[in-house]
Amino acid sequence: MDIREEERDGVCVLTPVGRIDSNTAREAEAALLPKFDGSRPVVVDFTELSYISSAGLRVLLMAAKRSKARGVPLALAGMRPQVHDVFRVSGFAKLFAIHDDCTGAVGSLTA
Amino acid sequence: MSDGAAIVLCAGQRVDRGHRADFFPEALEPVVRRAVRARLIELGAVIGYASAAPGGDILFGEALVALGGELNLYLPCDRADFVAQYVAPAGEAWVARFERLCARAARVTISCEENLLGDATLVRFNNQMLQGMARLRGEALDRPPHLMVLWSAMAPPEPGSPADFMDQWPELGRLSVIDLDDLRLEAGLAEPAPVDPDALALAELDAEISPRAVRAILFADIAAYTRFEDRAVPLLFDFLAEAQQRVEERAAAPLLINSWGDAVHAAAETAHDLADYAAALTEAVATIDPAAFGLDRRPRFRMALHAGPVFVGLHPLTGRSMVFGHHVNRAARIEPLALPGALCASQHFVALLKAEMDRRADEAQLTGQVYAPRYRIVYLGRRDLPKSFGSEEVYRVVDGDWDRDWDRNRDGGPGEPEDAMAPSRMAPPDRMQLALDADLGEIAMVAARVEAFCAVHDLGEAVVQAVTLALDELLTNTITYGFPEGTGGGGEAPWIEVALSLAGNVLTARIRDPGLAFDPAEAPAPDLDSDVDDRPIGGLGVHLVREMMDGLEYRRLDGVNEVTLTKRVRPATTDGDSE
Repeated sequence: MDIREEERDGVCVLTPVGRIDSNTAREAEAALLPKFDGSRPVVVDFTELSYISSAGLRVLLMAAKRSKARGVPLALAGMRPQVHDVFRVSGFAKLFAIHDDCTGAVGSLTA
Repeated sequence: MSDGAAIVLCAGQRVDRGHRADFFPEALEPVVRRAVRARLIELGAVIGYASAAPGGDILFGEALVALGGELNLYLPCDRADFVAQYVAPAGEAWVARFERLCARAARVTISCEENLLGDATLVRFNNQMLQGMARLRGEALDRPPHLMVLWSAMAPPEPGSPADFMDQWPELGRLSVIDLDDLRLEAGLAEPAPVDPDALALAELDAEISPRAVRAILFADIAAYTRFEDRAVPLLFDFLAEAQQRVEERAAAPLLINSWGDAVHAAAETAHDLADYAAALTEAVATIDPAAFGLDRRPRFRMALHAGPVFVGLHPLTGRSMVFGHHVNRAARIEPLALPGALCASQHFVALLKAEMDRRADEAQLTGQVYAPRYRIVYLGRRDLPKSFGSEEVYRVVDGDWDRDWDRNRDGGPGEPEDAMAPSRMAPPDRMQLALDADLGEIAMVAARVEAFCAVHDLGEAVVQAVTLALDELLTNTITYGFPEGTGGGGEAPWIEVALSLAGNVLTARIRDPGLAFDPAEAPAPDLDSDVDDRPIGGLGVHLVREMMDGLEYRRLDGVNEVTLTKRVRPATTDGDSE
């Protein structure tokens, strides 16, 4: 799985491409979790993500814990409507800061 | 969210054993118990599927039972071994709770009748069984199941762990996470002690070098093979070579495949892969013209599909890859139960298949694509296995891509155009098929199924009565007189198939059996013995059947009786394209 990384306004933006499922979750974990050892806030941009399963959610939950433990903020952005719906209905949306797009997410973390 | 009859699965974190870090300390139990109970009430949980390890599993089970729910327990290995490996190390109190919970569960099933041997593969397979069985139940009740995970982010995500279960569960919309670390913080307990890195590395290594893997397993052979004359056997193998060509075009090759004589044995990594292969082979054998190969009889395979953890290795005598173990032996024992030309499967196999199809469905839903499950899973019943292997819940796997159970006996090319009979994915199934033993006790089951089928299509009580009576007459006769030596015509075990289908305004019922040739329209009244329960089918019996139904036809093909009954009905809802 391809995970693009760039910096915008001092925020680390990770863009996973394709799917986060049981096959690719370990790669996502390896890319995302170490970011919380640094000092830059982290945004995960979902715009290129076609599918996420519970395996992907588990990576996000671990990231959220790391974020809280290290005091490094995390935000999610760019979810497709179906994905955002699933997060909302299941209640997991409450655990994350979710923004419509990357710009909004970056802005919230640099304000 | 809680609209009743929710089916909930549990992936529970085990309470800590002596040498492991304390991801789930016993002091946390009251808090977790309250959280689990609250969530179960919120979900409206009435049916539960779980293992019974001390800690999360048992807490879940106890909470569900206390709420009056139905608990289905699945254990990964032999029960005594499970207690020795998992329950007893947590203390005698947990052993007592385990035994009590098993006694109060609706059922306790062992997924693999072997010893654990410290093998996490068995635990992961057990989770796959839990998932599959909960999903099948969910389909039957039209309520997709929900997974509740009792999770600590600190615990290693080894195979069989709650984290691993979560990774194997696609639908994050039907997931509850009870976060043990958060509850721990709230309860003011200290963080878990750091895990000894050496112990962790060892555990991970153990997981990687498991001698077992989960495989889907096929055993098949050609029905009545010994009835092929010697001169026909090479022709038969030419026929199979043609079949193999077609199979290669349509399905991926299995991981391993072995054959001797007419028997075939294969293994694949997923149930769907193996089903695709078996379906391709079945279709090829059913559609190639046997006469073109000089055969006067169409060969048909009996196929049994099973799945489970098996040992994988190389056969010492052949050097070829092989699988062995309890589940391979079990697959071989299921094979004699299979009906020729149909895919017979064990509960283990359909559990995996269902979960795999659901995964594809979830993906399709999130990515906005259309997906129709390829296979329909039909429950046949519990069957005894030979050589004291106990019994097995047996299913038929029906290939929707080629839904040809009706036309299985026709030689040559494709069957009739099926526009009127094309099953809509959203409408209730317009056909139903049952496989029976030659036992009068089965007739009640047929009546119940007929009633359910007619109810789903709103056909009315009169139709139910008529069809049930007609089938009762014919089945009684077949069962009583059709198998005098206790065998069917070809030396097979007696079997009877009943199929119903609804197309437009016509209900068709078809009975097939390999018993003595018998045309109900021509039969004289048989001698009445002293048994007054025998119902004579000649004369009065056939008259009744003709009264109840509109059409009665008989033919005999390939040594099988086939009686087709038709009745005009008026279903309450008709699609615009009837007839």
